Amino acid sequence: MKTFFLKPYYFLLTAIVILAGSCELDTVNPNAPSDDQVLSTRDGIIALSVGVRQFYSTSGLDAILSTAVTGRELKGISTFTNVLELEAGSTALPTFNSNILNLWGRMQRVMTMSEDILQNAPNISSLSGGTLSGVTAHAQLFKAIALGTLATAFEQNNIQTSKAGGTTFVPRQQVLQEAIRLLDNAIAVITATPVSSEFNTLVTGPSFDLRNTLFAYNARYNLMAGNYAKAIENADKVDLTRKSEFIYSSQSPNPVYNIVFILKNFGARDNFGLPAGLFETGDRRYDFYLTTPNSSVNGDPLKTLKGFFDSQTAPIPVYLPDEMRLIKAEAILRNNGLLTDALVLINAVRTQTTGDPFNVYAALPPYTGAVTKDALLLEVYKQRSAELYLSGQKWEDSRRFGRPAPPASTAERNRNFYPYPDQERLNNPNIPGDPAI
Amino acid sequence: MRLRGVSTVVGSADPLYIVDGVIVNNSSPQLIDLGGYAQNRLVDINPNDIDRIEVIKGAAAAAIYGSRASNGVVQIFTKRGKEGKPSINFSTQARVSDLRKKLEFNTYPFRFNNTIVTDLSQTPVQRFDYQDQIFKTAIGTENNISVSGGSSGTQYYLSGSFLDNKGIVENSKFNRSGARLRLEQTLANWAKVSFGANYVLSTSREIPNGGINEAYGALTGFIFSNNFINPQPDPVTGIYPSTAPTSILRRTNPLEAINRFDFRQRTNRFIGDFQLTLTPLDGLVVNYVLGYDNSTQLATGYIPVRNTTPSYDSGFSRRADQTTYQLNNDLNISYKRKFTSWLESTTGFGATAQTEKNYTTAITATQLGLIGQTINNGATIVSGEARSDLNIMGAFVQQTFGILDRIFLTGAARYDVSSAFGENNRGQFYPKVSGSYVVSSENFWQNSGINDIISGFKLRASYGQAGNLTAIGAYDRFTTYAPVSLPGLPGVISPSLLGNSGIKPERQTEVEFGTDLSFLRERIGLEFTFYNKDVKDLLLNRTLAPSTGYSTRFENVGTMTNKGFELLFRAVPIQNANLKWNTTLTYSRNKNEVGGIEGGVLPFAGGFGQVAAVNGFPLGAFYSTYFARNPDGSLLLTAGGLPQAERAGRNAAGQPLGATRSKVIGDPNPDWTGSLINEFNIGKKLSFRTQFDASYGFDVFNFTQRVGNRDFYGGLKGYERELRGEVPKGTSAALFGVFENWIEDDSFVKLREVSLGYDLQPKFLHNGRMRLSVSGRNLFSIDDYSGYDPEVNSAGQSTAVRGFDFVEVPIPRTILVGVNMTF
Repeated sequence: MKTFFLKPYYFLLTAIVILAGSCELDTVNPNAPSDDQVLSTRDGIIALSVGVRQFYSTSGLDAILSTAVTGRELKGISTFTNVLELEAGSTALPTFNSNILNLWGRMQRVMTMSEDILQNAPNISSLSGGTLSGVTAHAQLFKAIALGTLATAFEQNNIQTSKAGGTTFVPRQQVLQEAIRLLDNAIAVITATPVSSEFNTLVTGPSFDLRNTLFAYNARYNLMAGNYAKAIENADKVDLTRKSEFIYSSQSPNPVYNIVFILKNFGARDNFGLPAGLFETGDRRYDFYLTTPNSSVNGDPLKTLKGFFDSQTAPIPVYLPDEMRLIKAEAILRNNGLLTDALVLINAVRTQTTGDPFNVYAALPPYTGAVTKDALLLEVYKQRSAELYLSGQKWEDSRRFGRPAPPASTAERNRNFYPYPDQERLNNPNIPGDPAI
Repeated sequence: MRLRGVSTVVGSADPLYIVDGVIVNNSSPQLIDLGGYAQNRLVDINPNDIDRIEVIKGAAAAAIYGSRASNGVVQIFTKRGKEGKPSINFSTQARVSDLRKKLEFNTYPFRFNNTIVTDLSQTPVQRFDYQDQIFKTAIGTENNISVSGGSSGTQYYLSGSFLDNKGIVENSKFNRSGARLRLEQTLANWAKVSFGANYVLSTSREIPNGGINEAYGALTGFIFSNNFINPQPDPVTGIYPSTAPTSILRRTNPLEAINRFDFRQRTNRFIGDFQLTLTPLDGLVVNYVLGYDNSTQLATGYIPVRNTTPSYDSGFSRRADQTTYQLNNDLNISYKRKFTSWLESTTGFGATAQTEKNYTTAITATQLGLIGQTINNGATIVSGEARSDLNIMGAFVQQTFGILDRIFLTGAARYDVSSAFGENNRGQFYPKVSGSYVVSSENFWQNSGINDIISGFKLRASYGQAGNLTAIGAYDRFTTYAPVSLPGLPGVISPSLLGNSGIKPERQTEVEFGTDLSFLRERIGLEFTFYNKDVKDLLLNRTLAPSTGYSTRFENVGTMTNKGFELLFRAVPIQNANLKWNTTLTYSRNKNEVGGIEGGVLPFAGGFGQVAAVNGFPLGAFYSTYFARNPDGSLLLTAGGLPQAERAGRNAAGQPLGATRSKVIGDPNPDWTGSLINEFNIGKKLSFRTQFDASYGFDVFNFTQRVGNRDFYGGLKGYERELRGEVPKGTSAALFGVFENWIEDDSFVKLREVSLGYDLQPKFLHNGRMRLSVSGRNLFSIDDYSGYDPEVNSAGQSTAVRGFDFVEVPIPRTILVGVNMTF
C-alpha cells in the first residue's frame, strides 16, 4: 500500500508542474509581423514600400474603377445593391454605398502607409543614401496619388491621416497643392541623391519607373490644379519611350480583369461610353480596348473589354505617354497659347501608328475641324476619352471640360462629386456637408 | 444551441461542451464554401455512447469555467462499465428521409419577351420542376455494438459504431465510424484511475448549395434560374445548359452542381482523457483530469473545367485543412465536513491550465487542366496559412454551507489569465454567490396539511459573473501587417483592422431567482426561473473613421441584456399497473437588447448587409429598406403605379427623393419557445412518445422568395401573377428593392418526434432483451411560412445572422425503424 500511496501524489505533483509550466502568455503571432516589427526595421520599411504599391495597384485601382461607372465608361450590371446604386448615380447614390467607402478608405490606407514610411524611414540608421531617397520619393509619390485620387471624387479631403481620429478637411484645390508639393519634393530628393540599384532591385523591380512617373503625375495634377506652365514643364521631362507599369500575378491579380471578367459587376459600354459625335469611327483604339462578343443590358450596348485588362496578369500602365502630349495641348489652349502648337500635339496623338511603348494607336486622319480654342479643347477631351480609357480620369475630365452635368444630363457623368461615406461621418465630427449632386 | 439568449456579438454563442471532463472542440469551420452550411464538430460524438447530459445555465457555470462560461456549459457523460459479466448491446437502425415541403413553382406556360414594362408580349414556354430533379428520398443506416462489464477492481466499456446517411439532395452523404473505450481501475479503496479513448472518422460528400459568398451552389443555381429552361444535359454532348435567363448573368445549373462537382470533407479525431480520483480522508476528494482532443478536418472541392458557374468556368479546385488541438489539465479538490448537527460545509479548490492550437491551410487553384482534380493542376494557385496559439490558466475557490439541511449558501471566486487578453487586462476575476432555502423541510410545513398538497417548496437565487473568451482572437491585441507580394517583390501592407492592446473579455453579470414546487407527492412538479443577464464590455468590431488609416478595431464598447423566464411543468396524470403517462411542458421567453453601438447600427456580414445590431433592438434585427407610404398607411406608388422604397425626402410631386432609407423591419428572435413531451408506457412492453416544439413571434427574411419571384429569374409561383396580368408588369422588379416585402412571420408548431417502442424477450436471446422501435421526425409543421422550413438559416452557425432564408437544404422529414438487443 505504501507504494500506491506514493505514486498518485508523485503523479499529482508532476501534473501541477505541467499545469504551471505549459502556459506561455506572451505568445508571438507567427502569421504576420506586428507594426513594431515593420516600422522599426530596414526590411520592414522596404517591404511596406512594396506593399503600398501593391495595395494601390490592386485594391486602390479596384476602388478607382467605380469612378468609371460614374463617368459612364463602364456600366454597373450585377444586381448587387451597391452596384445598382452606383449605376443609378444622382440622388439615388446613398452615403452608405460601399463603393464610395472603398474609394475613400483605400486611399486613406495608401496615405497611412506612405506617412508611416516617411515618418519612420529616416530613423533607421541602416537605411541611407540612394535607398533612403528612393523609399522617401516612392512614399511621397503614392501619398500624392492618393490625394489626387481623392480630389477627383470629393470636394474636400484631409491631407494627413490620424490614428487618434478627428482629422480636418481642406478644399480639393489645396489637396492638389499638397500632392504637387509632395511630388516636387520627391523629385528634388532623387535629384539630390539618385536612387540606388538596391532600391530598384528591392522596391521598384524592372517594370516600375519611379522618375518618369513622378514627372507624369506632377504634370497631371498641375493641369488639374490649373498650373499650366508647370504642367507643361513636368510633361516635357517625361521620357515618352519609357514604360512604367503596375504588374500582376495570380496572388495580386489585375483588378479591372477581376471586376469585369470574374465578378462581372461592371461591363464596358460601347464606344467608350461616349455620346454620338464624340466618338469617331475608324479609331483603332476602339479595337485595342474593346472587342466582341457584344451584349445589351437594359437597352445599353456593351462590349467585351480588352486592352490592358483581359487577363489576370496583364500589366496596367501607370500612365500612358500620350497623356503628356494631351496635357501639353490642353495646357497651351487653356493658357491661351498658340492654337497651332496645340494642334500639332493633338495630331501627333490622332495620327500615331508607331512608337508608342504600349502600342495604343488611334491611326486617325489629322484633325479637320475648326481651329478655335473651344473646338480644340473639345478635341482634346475626345482624344483623352479614347486614349486614356479606364485610366481613372474620365470623370475629372468631364467636369474640367464643362461637359453636360447632372441632374440635367447623366449622359457623361451621373454625379458631380461623391457624398462622403457614412463611416467617416459617424466617426469624425469635422466632415463637411455632402454635395447636392 | 442557445442557452438563455445570445450574450456576444463577435464571439461564439454556443455553450462550452465538456465530454467526460474533456473540453471538446465544437467549432464549425467553413473550409470550403458550401453556402453557409458547415459541419459542427459535435457531429463526431456518437449519441449511442452518451449516458447523460447536464446543462449548466446561468451563474452556476461562472466559478468553475470562468472566462469560457458566459454561454453556459453542457456536460456530456458517456457510458461506463459495471461490475458483472460482459453485457453486449447491439442496435441497428434504418432511416428514410425526404423533403417535407416543396416550394411552389411557376407553372404559367408563357414568359414575357423582355423586361420593358410597356411591352406585354409573351411567348409560350414549357416549365420544368427543378426541385423534383434536385431532391430525392434518402436512405440511411446506423449500427452500434458495445460490450461492457468488469470485476470489482476493473470495469470497461467499449463500443464501435458505423453511420451511413444519405442526404436529400442527390449525391450528398455523411458517414461516421468510431470506436470508444473506457477503462477504470481501482488502485486502493481510496484511489481510482480512469482512462478514456475515442477515435472517430467522419467523411462526407457535399453538394454546395447556398450563396452568401459563392454562387456555385445547386440551390443558388435553382433560385437564379428561370424554370422554362430544361436543366438536363444535352443528350449528345453531355453539356449542361446555362439555366440563367440572360446572357450577362451566369448562374450554376443545379443538376451540373449535383452531378459534376465533387466536394468532400473528412475528419480524423481522437479524444482521450486520463483521470485520477483520490479519497484519502473522509470527505476529501481530489480529482485530476487530463483531457485531450485532436482533430484534423480536411475539405476538398472540385469544379471541372467548362461549366455553368458564374466565376469558375476555367475550373476550381480547393483543399483546406484545419488541425485543432485542445488540452486541458484540471485539478479539483473538495472537502466536505459536518461540523455540528446543523452545519455542513463543502470547500472546493480548483486549478486549470488549457491550451488551444489551430493550424489552418487553404489552397485554391483555378484555371485547371482538363482532367486532374488536385490543386497542382491549376495555372493560378492562391494559398493561405494561419496558426494560432491560445493559453488560459485559472483557479477558483468555492465554499458552501448547508444549515439545518434546508438553507444552502455558496460563495465562489475565480481568477483567469489568458494569452489573448491585452497585457494590462491579463488577469480577470469572476465572483459568484448563490443560496437556496427548502421551505418544505421546515417543521411547520411538514406538520401542516399543506404538505399533502404542496410536498416540496424551494426558493433559490444566485448572482455571478462570467466571461466570453471566444470573442477575442488569439492575436487581436496586435496591429498585424498582412503579407502581399508583387512578382519577385515580397511586401507587407498595413491592415484595415487596428490592434487593441487593451482588449479584455466580455463580462456578463447574471442574476436569477427561482422556485421549485412539487405537488401531490411528486405527481406534479413546477420549476420557475427568472433571470437577467447584463453584458458589459461587449466586444464590437467598431468601425473607425477611414481617415485614421484603418477601418475597424475590436473595442469593449457595447452592452447587451437578456431578460427572460423559464417554466418547466411535469406531471404524471395516470400511473397504474397498466398505464403510465408522463407529460412535460417547457416554456421560455427571452428578450435581448443591444446598446452602445456608435452610430446606432452595426451591419453584419453573412446577411448581405441587411442584418444589424441596432441600439435598443435585439441582436440580428433585420435592418433594411421599407415601403414608401401615404399618411394613411397605404402604399405610395410611383407614377407608373408600382410600389417603391422610402427615400430621404419627397419631391414637388410628392414622390420619394434622395437616398433610400433603412430601418428595423423584422426580428428573428422568437417571443417565446416551448415544447410539449408526452410519454406513455402501456403495459410492460409498449411505449409511445410525442414531442411538439413551438416557436412564436419571430420573423424570417425570405431572400429565396425575393429572388425566385423576380422577373429576371421568376422560377417561383409568386411571379405568375405578373405574367397573368394581375399586377402591373414591373411589380416584381419594384418589390425586389423593398426588403420589407420579404419579411415573413414565422411562428410554428412542429411535431419534432413521434415514436413507438415495443420490448420483448425472445427465446434466442435467453435472458436478453430486445426492443423494436419506429419513429418519425419533423413529420409536419403548422405554420404560414412560404419557404421550405421555418427553421432555416443560410448563415449557418453565425451568432448574429439568424432567420435568414436563402436557399438552404431544409431539415428533412425522417422515418426511422430500429432494433436494439441487449444480452
